[in-house]
Amino acid sequence: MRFAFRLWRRFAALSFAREAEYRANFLVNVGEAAIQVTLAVLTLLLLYRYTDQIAGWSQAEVLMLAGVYRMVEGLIALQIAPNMLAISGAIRRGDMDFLLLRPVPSQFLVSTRLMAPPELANVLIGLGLAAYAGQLAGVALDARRLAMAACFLLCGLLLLYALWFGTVTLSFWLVQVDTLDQLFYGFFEAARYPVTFFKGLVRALLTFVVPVAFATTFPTEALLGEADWRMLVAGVGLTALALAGTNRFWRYAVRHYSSASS
Amino acid sequence: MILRTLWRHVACNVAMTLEYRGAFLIYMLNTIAGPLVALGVWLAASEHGAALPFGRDQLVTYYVLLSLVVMLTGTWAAMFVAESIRTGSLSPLLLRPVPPILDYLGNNIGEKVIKLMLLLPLVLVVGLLFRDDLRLPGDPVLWLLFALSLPGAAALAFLLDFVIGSLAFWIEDVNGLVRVKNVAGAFLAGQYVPLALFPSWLDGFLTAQPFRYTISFPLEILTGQLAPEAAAQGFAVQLAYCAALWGCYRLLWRAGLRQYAAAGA
Repeated sequence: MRFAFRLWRRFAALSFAREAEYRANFLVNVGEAAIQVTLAVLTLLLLYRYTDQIAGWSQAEVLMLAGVYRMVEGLIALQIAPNMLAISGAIRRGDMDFLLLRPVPSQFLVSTRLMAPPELANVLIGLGLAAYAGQLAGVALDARRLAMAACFLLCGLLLLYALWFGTVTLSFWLVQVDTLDQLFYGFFEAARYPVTFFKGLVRALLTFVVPVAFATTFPTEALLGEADWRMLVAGVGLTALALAGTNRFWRYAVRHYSSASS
Repeated sequence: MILRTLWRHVACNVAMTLEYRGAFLIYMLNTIAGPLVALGVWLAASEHGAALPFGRDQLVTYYVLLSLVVMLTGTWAAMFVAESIRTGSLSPLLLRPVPPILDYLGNNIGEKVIKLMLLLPLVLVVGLLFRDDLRLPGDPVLWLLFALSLPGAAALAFLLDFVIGSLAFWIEDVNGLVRVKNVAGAFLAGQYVPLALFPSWLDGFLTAQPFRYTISFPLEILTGQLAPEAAAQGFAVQLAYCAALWGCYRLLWRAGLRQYAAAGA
């Protein structure tokens, strides 16, 4: 575990050093993030012109969720997406050989080695929006709520990672899965809003099958003091299951890998 | 000759796109996902007592058809134009006896032929799911006007995109500009929220800006929001924008090519 953490710190330092060469890129990212968050807020303002609450969510509360969404999106783009996007290419070109040869658990290596530091802009903007909207909503923060929100958030991120990683692992058999990433973003769209906005089947789908609810709705509910602790237990269980499942699938896939170069 | 060349480009792009049909099917699933999420949210609002100026059936009709219009008026030329100017891969295109814009236009139309074949069944399925609230107009005139407004909308979007990409003759990196145009343009075109749900004091601005004529205008016709005069005016504005952008394109390319000096030119 300590070894893994040390390694991850090295990866991060490398990514930051690389990014420091492209400082203008960071500014473009900040600009784009600012525009996107503005449009998201405007959309919600339009929505709440006609009502004070939707399914028990006030405008300030939904704005808070929009902040959490931006943060989660930033975290995914920062740490998860760059790695997931690189895997299928590495398999197709045969670069995967070099990754598998290293004396590190291969799933850990292919899932953490890359990072996109400019995305920190998104994380910070999201955090700012969530804090501001939280104040509007009159949220009284205490350690318990924060801890619960953090747990949900972590479960949500890991679940989304597992979903994406499981899909990417299919690249060992299918050549073209790059576009499945697009599908991931399509589903992630739905995380912008509380799952309680949706009904029946769609809500169940967004909670357990494509678990975006754990990434945005539940953390926000936890901050508002409305979270269900049984959901947290379910989330932790689901996460453990998903991680174990992807790990087995990955190991099975690697065993059947016949390099592109040999 | 120009038309024949364009036709060859389209046919060629249809064949190429067909090779990636799986990937394009997923793009289309994605195209339809966004509008459905938005529809779900607005339906939730209306069910929880929001007094919308838009009826439930209008919401459903708008968002179900939205993905179709978004796809048909979609454009992705800017980044490719800019790259070909920057890297000099434009040079071989300049040797041909037809303008390079035909390449990009042929690609645009060719991909859309395949995308339409993939998207239509998806829209049909979604339409069936919402059949109780879907109100397609029975009036053939509305359908005709809708069909007429689409080529104008697609041309406007394409020309605008192409013109912005062409700025690469002078600006080294136009990607930021293109991304801002895409994100803000989609919002102002009614891709996320129908323009009818914006506050009414914005009406003047919303009607004047070009993006309305790319997505919102055809849908406004089809959902019966426009009086005949307003529709006629809309067509006039759409045409005027296209003409103005065409002029910009000609000017930019004449001036741009004169000082184009990419590697290998």
